Amino acid sequence: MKYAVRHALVVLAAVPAAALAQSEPCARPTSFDASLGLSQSDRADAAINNTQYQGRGPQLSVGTALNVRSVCVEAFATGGSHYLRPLDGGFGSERVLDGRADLYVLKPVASSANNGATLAAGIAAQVNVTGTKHSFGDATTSNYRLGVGSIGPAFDASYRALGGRLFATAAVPLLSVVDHPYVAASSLDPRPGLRVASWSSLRGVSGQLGYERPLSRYLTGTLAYRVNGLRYDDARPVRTLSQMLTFGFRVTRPTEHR
Amino acid sequence: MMMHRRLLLAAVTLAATACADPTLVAPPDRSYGAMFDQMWHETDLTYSMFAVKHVNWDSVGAVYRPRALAAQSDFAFARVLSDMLGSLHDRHVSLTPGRGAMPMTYVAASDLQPLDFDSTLVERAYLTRRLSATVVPHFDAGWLAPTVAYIRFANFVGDDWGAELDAALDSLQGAKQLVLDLRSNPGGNYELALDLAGRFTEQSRDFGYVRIRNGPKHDDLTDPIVETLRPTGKRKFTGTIYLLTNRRVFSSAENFVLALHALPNVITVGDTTGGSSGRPVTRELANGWTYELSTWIEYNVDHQVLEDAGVAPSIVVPRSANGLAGKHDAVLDRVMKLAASGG
Repeated sequence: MKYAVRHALVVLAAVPAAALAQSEPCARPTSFDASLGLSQSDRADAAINNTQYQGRGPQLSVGTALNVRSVCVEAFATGGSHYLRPLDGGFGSERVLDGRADLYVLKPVASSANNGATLAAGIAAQVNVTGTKHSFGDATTSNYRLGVGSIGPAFDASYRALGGRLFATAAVPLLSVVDHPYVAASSLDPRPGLRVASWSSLRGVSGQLGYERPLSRYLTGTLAYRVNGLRYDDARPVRTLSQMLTFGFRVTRPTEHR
Repeated sequence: MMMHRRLLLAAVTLAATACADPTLVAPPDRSYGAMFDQMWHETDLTYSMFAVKHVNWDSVGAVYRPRALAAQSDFAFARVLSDMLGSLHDRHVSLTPGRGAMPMTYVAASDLQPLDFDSTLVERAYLTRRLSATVVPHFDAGWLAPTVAYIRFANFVGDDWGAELDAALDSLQGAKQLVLDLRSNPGGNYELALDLAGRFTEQSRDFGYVRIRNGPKHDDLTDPIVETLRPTGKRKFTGTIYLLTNRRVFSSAENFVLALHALPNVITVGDTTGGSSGRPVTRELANGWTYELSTWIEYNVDHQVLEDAGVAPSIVVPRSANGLAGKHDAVLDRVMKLAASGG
């Protein structure tokens, strides 16, 4: 088991997959995930202007799931690049590069007798960093950034159905640290200006809904819809919503598979 | 077969959900009143030098809002907005009313005075030899005398000229004195200016401070951030440098002057620089018009504000001394005397 933990920590996990193992305390066995998908990014950052920008692009995710003494640890990292255009007849365009890492620590709280349905609750720590190169209507460009690190409650549920498993996870940030430069990023002041934000000024939700189905003894196919929404209110309010549809695979370690 | 249909249904449902188009902010209001309020508010939140300029922005808004509401055309509306921004008396504040339109910029009374510098006169009457434009396409360089080299930066618009300046300094190796002519340089790229200035020092030196607007209150500014000139490039010139300035030196060109002014081997000659330093950012109105606002206050090493004060030269040659008949350049004449005497 120690080897499995060390091995699994090398990679962060993407699309958590539902448990197939009857005797696993967690919904997912120790496994690695990789998935590729299409994401849609919507952003409105008043530090740039008051217009909503939208774009789609490929998104790559990797991750892992671990079972450590009846505690379910799930983590994933995802990143992508998007070219955003304005909605509602706005002007300019944006090139957005973003990355996100999530860590869920969950404790099973309920399961059916045959483990066909599971529910786990715990906490999630999330970090999301976005760099935006904005081109204004007059062709000038400026760079902006938004970094959010948060912690809050999380839950994970799964239900055996359709020859596989349906699953849902969600997390809500309760306490956050935000780096959102007041004006365009400056080479003279590259340090993040961190501010603490509570639920009153930063509200959001992240989660996913998906389905997975075993393809072979060690390989599982996954299909998931993931969404992250953020509403941050300071002098320069930010609204973001990213949606992602991914297809991927989860590889379960032979020693862990049952 | 039934299972496959269910899977297909699940996939289609997920795909449809993923394509949802959310609305995060209200559609833009393009009425004159709304756009005026937008510009006034953004300026209130962003502009860095209300205190330096002694401007009561609330009063300015109260004066210009009725005029904006009464505007009968885009041109008249742009005029009102430009006039309001003009009350800041800041050359880095401007309005561009539409893509491709000429920026409407504040013009100070001193900007309307006749030029006291003619670059063609230097080329015609003073330069004995010029480096080829293929070697130095972005600036002029040559010789004023067998041991006196000359480099003129007309502006700092662009980036990555370092190798070009290295090549020029390589070609001017025999020089004992160097005249750096920045007169009428309106500025450009701050990073480029400091990268070029780094060719004239062998050690890092602090030359100023900036405070950047970082909050909604007018006095929300960062703590002073030190500006440092660092050595750059493969070639250096560390002999005597005469740095020529006049009232038309602005922005990053003033940063260049400020940086070199701190060096012991540099003598500034001419007139005080324009006093305009703002690090502007672009903001945008709902109709696509853009405007620029200063976001910092820059100080010299003695913590004196650069805006409207400029950098005074070590040796003053007032503009009145520079005849405009096109026959002589009083500043260069003075420098050549200094160079000849080894001063």
